[in-house]
Amino acid sequence: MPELISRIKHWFFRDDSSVLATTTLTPAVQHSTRETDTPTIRHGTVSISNNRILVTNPDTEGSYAAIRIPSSPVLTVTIDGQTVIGQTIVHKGQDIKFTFKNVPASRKFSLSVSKDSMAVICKVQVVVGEKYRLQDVNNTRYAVLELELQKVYPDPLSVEEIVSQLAEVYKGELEEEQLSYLCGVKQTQEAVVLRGVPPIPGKPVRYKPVKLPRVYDPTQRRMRVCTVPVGTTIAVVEPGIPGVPGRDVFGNEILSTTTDRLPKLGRGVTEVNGQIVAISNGRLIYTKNHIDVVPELTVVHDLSSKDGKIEFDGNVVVLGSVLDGSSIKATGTVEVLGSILCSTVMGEQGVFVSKSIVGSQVVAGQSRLLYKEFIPLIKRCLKEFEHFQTEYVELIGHAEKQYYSKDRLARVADLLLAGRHPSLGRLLSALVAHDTDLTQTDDRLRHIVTTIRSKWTGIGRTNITELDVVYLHQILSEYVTHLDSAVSVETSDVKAGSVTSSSIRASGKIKITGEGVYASSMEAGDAALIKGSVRGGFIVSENRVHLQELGSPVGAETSVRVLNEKGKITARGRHPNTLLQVGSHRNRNFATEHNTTFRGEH
Amino acid sequence: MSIRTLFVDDSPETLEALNLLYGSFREIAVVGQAVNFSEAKSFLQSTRIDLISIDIQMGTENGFDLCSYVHFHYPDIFIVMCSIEFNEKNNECAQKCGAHRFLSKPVRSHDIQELLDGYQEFRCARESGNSDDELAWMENLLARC
Repeated sequence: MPELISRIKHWFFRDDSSVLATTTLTPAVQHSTRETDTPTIRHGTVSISNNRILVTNPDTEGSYAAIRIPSSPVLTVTIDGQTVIGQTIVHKGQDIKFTFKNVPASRKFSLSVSKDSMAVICKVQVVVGEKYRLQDVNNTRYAVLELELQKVYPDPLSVEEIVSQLAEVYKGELEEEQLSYLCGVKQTQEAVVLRGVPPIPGKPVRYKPVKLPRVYDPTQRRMRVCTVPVGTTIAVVEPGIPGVPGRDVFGNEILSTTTDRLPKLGRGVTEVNGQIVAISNGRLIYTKNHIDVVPELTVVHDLSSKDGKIEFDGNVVVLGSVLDGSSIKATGTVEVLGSILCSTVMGEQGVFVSKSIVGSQVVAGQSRLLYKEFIPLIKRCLKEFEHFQTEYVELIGHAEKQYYSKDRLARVADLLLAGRHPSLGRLLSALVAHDTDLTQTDDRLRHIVTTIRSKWTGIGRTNITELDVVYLHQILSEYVTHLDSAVSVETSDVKAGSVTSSSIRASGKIKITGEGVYASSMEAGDAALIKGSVRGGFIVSENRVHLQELGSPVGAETSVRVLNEKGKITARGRHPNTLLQVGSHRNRNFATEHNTTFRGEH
Repeated sequence: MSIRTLFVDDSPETLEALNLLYGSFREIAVVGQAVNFSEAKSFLQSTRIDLISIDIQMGTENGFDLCSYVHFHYPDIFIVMCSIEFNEKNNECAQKCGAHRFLSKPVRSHDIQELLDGYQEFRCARESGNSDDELAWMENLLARC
């Protein structure tokens, strides 16, 4: 009985390993050696090591080993000379060969020069190689060939090779660190390996200002250099330091440039022994463009017609107002702490009024404005003279053929002028009659006016020779050429609190900082900037007009014009019946507008 | 000799500005201002004028009518139409009515300068009267030597 129970137990609780062994499916991949079912059966095996395959044959009862060859573009497996892909059995007698399509690594360099020829750039192009091998397999009955990729880097470049190639063509400073780095890079890179020598700029000549005593100016409410007496040293000339030329990578010299930007010296100063010295008493003007000592006339009271006409070569400062009938003409600035009433004020460098301008004529930069008006006249005169000269030459030729005497020939020009060129006669008269201020300061113009007065007007006109005609043409055309470059580029401004019933002209800006402008004519060479309102009258500016309020609610006719097509007019408020013009574009409104910006391009 | 000038415009601010602008030229003497047709007409009857500046729109009145009147009755006066309304149509109309120049507002000093040149040419043309014989100009001139 116990024996029976033990047998039953044995039968119920027996080990199932033998059952599993018989039902287990053989896996497709086997990477490890399995024990044979019984110790006596030997199966064939395959091992792969270092890309070499070792195959063992099975015994009679065993099975041959098999390999699976993948379809790969980089691996070719031949068995006994035949290329095989896929699953196949292998045995010891076979000649199994593996062929890999490895990619060789490479490294090469090229040299190029920068645009400014100051650097040589070396570009190293690296091609990383690919080396394939089979994954090792150890004594397995079924092996799947798996590839492993190894990156192969090329050998570093030789620094000496690059340096020798550089030395053949280029000159300069070698960047050794960059060069060494490039020789060993593992990917394509470039770097500067040779540099030229840049030029070292010199130090330009400059004026170093001398520290002068300052005093408090109650009118301007700031510290100012007080007036300087003649002989005062204003500045010291600091000599420049010449630069050092450089060399590019080809060995060519690069010059060092030094720009001297010295301020212009005015008539009130001169250079003596490397110093800028005042040659007149006056107010010091020291800007980055201009050094001068300008005489200054200070009028401590209100100016009136009783004080006479003031013409001053320098600045004029009026601590009071300029009253009815006064006249001020200054080559510098005119500064009025009060108002200008029914007067004429001209300041070549600018006119600055703290309060109002009423019923007056104010001009800033009169010479520039006069020249601007004078240039068209002289050009028209020259053009008309050329027409006259052409006919004169023809007429003289005709007269000489008829053997006219010298006296008769001398009258030809006069008759031609009177009969066929009266406009030229008028232009010549206008030239002579033009503003005497210009003739006083302009020597060339004075000479032309003298020549015309003596030979081309009055009784002198009856005795004009061919040489006189040629000579006048020559001096006119030379003067026209000179004028185009001679007119000063510096502009002058007018600044005031308000303007009423006045004519204001400035070669630069007009700035009105107070209530505004009423019933006036304003012409600005640059811009008109009005903080308040503009009611009635004309505003003309070259580039820009900005104002707060244009016109009036009752429709006061007001017109504003900007001559430059690219200019603009801006107004916060625009009442009806006002005109805006920029270039050739005009706009008149009949309703109130706000925040108006009017431009030429529409 | 000064160019005696009369302004006709219904806007007092414009009259003021024109006065200042023309007055800055030494050759010009501003002798009067009128705000309508009848004022201008009575001024012309009493005072000799060389140059007249007329606005086109003067309230209900038309400046072209005054222009035609001046051109017909006073042919020696140099007529300038000065208006805020500057266009081809107005320019043509002004020429037909006998105006010698058309100035658009705003007026500049440069415009006045050109106007003066035009005035001089007008004056010379009025005084000389005849044009030259183109064919025989050389012979005529030389014969006068």
